[in-house]
Amino acid sequence: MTTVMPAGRRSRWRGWRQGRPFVAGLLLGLGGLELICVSWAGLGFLRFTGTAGAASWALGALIVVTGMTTWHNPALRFFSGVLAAVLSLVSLVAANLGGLLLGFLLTAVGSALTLAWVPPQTPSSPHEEH
Amino acid sequence: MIDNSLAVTDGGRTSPLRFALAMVPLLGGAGVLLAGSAAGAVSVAFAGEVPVTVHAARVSASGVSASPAGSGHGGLLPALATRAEHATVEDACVTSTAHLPVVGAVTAVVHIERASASGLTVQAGKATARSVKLSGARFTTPRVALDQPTGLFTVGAKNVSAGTVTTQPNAFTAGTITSRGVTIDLREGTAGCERGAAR
Repeated sequence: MTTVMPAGRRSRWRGWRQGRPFVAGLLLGLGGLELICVSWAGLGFLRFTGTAGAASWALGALIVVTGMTTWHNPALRFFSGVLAAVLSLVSLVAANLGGLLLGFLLTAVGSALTLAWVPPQTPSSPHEEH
Repeated sequence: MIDNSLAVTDGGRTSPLRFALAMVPLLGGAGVLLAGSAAGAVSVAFAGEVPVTVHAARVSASGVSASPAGSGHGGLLPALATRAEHATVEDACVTSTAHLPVVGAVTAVVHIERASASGLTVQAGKATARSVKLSGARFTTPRVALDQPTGLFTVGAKNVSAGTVTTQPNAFTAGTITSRGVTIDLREGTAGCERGAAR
């Protein structure tokens, strides 16, 4: 059983996805949330104490912001990609070993996909990066 | 002309060359950090609540204070919350068992030759030691009158050293943890390191 999406909405959704590094932003968002979730689920009564507790929230939030920046402003993909890559490395030593390595892997792959994304070459956007 | 673009997603094209160029330094940096952490050169910050049992041949700590607390979500379990400014563990064996849906019980056994932590807070439901040595010990109970204690007690010591320690921490936080000589072993079942099994 499949869900039928109206053709207009589907084409708009496809156009929105094609205009930005969608999977990269999604992985960055998931990686940031994973960092927060490991801290949230694991700390118990010590929910917001310690260096790792605070760092998990700060790093996770920043990585989610880089993912949203990648979606909403693809022109800033190099900035957000490099920032996410640096934050993923910092999370290894500051946030529960990068959210038990899973958050680091999601963020690292997401940042690499962000940096590797090539926008579609269209005649209407001659000043797009080469 | 060679087009090195590859359609990876519906939303855009990803250059495999650029992806590799981005991943190589990331994985290289991660490898250096993890190797440095295993060798004790890089400190790693942890905060967590995991069901673990710790056996240690020797434990020493400074700036220690301990008081009763509640553990678990809602404070249902009695526990002892211990704070140490600096703590060192030698010949430790850490066991943690997770019950996975398909695989069943999987036990992680971590042997640590030496680990030191700063800003360590541990909430433990059980702790035993064969020998304990204290210096600069103190005991305080908050009072509003001389004959009427009003709150929970606090015990503390300037320096504490203990031998053959076994504890089951419910939760812990640490500013930094530096370890040396770490080996990790994953086993099926619940068998971990027994008391005195620490090398």
